[in-house]
Amino acid sequence: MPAVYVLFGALLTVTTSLALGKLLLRQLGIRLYRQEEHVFAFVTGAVCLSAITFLLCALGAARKGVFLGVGLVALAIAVWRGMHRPVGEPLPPLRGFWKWLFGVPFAVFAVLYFFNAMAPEFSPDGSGYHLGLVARHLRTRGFARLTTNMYANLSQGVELLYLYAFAWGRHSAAALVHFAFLVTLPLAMLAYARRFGFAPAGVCGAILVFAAPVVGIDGTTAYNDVALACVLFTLFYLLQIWAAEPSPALLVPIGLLAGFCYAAKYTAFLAVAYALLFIGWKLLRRRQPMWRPLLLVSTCALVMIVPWMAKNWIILRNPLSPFFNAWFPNPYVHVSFEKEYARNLRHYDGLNSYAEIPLEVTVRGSVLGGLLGPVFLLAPVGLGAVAWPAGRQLLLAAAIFGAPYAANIGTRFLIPPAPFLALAMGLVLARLPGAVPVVVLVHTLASWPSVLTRYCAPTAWRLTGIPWRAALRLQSEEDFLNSKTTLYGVARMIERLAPPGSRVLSLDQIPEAYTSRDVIVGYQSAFGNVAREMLYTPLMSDVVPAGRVRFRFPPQALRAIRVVQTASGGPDHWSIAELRLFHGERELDRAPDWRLRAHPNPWGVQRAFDASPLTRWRSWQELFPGMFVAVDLGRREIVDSVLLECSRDQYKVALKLEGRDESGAWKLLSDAPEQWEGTLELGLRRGAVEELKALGITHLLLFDHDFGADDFRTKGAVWGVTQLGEWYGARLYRLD
Amino acid sequence: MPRRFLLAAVTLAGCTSIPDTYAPPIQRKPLNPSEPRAFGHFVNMNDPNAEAYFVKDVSPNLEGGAWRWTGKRPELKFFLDSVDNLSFVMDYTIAEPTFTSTGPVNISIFINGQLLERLHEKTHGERHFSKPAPPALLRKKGVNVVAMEIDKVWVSPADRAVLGFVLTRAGFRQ
Repeated sequence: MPAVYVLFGALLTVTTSLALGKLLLRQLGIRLYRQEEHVFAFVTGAVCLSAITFLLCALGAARKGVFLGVGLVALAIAVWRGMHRPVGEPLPPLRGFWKWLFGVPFAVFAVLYFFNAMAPEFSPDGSGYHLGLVARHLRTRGFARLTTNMYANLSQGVELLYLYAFAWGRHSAAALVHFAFLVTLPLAMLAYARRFGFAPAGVCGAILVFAAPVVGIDGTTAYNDVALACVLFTLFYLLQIWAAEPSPALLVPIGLLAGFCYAAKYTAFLAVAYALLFIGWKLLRRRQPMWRPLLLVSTCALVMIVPWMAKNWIILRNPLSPFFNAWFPNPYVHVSFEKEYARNLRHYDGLNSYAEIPLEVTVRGSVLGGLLGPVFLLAPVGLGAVAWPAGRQLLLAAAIFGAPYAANIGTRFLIPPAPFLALAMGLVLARLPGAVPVVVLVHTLASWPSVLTRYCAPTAWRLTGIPWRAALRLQSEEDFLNSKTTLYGVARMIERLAPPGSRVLSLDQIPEAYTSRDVIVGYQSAFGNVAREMLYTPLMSDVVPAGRVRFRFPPQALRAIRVVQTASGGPDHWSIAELRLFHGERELDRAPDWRLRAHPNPWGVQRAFDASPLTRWRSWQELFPGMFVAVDLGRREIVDSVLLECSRDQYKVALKLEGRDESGAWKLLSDAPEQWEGTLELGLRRGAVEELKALGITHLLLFDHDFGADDFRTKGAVWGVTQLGEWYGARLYRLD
Repeated sequence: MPRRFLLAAVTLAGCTSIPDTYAPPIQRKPLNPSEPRAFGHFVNMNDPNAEAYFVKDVSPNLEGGAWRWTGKRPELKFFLDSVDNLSFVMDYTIAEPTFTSTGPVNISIFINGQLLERLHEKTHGERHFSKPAPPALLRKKGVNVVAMEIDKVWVSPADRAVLGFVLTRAGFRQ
């Protein structure tokens, strides 16, 4: 992608946001200082542009030309209405020393960040799902019904801004949009501090955040944490202005921004509650009516929130997907996955104790993915800011927006509260003569890539230099990306060797943003979980349905039977590969008018009745009494035994069989089944591949470190697969 | 693609109910369509139909719920739907009481009369044997007889019963 397109895509997004924001703010008659207006206009405009892009995606009109049209119209109206002419008074001036102390580090790091953002995108999540989904939206011109990627179920407010830029400038344009938020954040922090009279603290806080290594790398890639931090801080800033100068008009952008925080990231859902409680508390203390203001804020917030919930409700039957699946049962995300996912986010491999977190997030940066810089070890001094009203507000915001960190202890989840904490630190340090310049100097030096390398962990997530040749496209994207990650080549191998329309099952996330093929990652959906299990069944003795459980009872006419599970607890799940009914030696044919039911996971019940040893109904939840699989026979049938073919990975399961006769009442038929080990069928590997093909999967991507990879490599003919290509230990197979 | 996404939202929300009962799905074809019900490619000695696999010299008595004594030359029959990429697999035990009497033994494994392997057992204990079976030794879509001949047996002084070794499971796997 030529650099000019990259810049155009990003500039179109930023200028359209600015135009929309200025139009909104001036239409509302909000009076701001001149420097503030730019900040608020960009952020509120971005919120509006994201909402417009959502609408276009919903209408299937997410096209390059449409985006350009929206931008040109917004810009034309803005110019026509004179939005380019500054209004408002300038903020109180920044004294020379402080101007330099802020300006020099800001400019130097802005250059570093600009070239990194401009360089081809290779961040794991950015090129994996953030832009993978963006690219998919662009290909399908909107929200295609996607149920096989749980990341698509998350709100994507920031990603829709990336989409707007991506349409013209692809991956780097999206990263540049994030970069725009990155440079806006310290400007907003400084403007806030200047307005409320503690500019030195603002300089300190702004540079502490701006130069923080994890903020730098996050904000120059297609992640969204810095954008969220910027919106959260802008929301806080607007609330502080409203508290000082109550104006009903401010409540509109406050509501929009609060709602957008949810639209940007679920973990920021507290922003709405924070805004409402803040406003309610202030009005209560002023003895002013609060319901209309709160209603206005709530309505504006809901405008940003409801579309995402509605999208999930329509597509996934769960407005909060991929979470709360026990509340909103659905076939797309398993309850067990949700529990495991939440647990994994709280426990990072390599972290032996939570006591290691402070050093990890400030100095080492490897295990938790990035570092804030050693100066943040001084963060506790920020608690001293509780002595001042502004400090109390900042610490309260830091506590609220830092609370979700408990759910994900990665360093980047500290970015949203970091601006508040940094300003609180600044408030305290500014009282100590000479402390702010020293801290700023030490932090900027310690955060510069070449210095950083000397003390952080070698694998710490960070920027490593200024890739100006790649940024200006003097080095080809292909060369640059291949030099940075082998995964890019994997994505391109898929693009090259799997024909259009292919569906590739992978057990690992790859840079989906660089392939147009449908990549199903095994852990990312119920569909992927099932496909992965089918693949592994021939290789895992505990999963192969070699167990036999037979209930025998006196022959009798029944209309329905059900197998009920009575035990509770984990980690076992209950599963049945096949459920067969017998009268004597004769197995009852599975008639079309039979009706099959299961609880939980009713959607998988057919897999216990498809005559395939490679598929199974599974609870996908830990055991609880009352789980059942039932067959309504539709008429009376003489039955005297029921045979279950099942796997061994369910040691705690306790079963009983119940039957229903003409009376309609369920009665116990047997609770003491015979159990023995059955014989495994030959051809399970080939059968697994056939089942995957029945799911529409055409290719398989296996890394040499994946479980079973050796078996595929050495027994390709047995599986019925052909290796099409290999790239640094990643092998692409075609299912024959 | 939901082209009128928002406009249709309310309507769609009412239309996306997922049934909670299902009819039986299309039945999959058997993985080994020619394999008869009576016996197949692998047998555990405690399978309910294990005796369907016995040709000779395997005790009709199941011991300990899992294993059976063999005689001098036990033979089992297996049906193989295909003969590619198969290994003959056997779990067996040289029992200490018989080993004390016989000393080291040799067990020769024949598939359809052709030698696959000769095992020299110097100690007693449990064993797992697995070896690829050349397709040339096997009969596709047909019955294959596997013999496991032990060179020295223990003979009961009381009733002249002949005991070879302990067999737990045997058959073919991929």
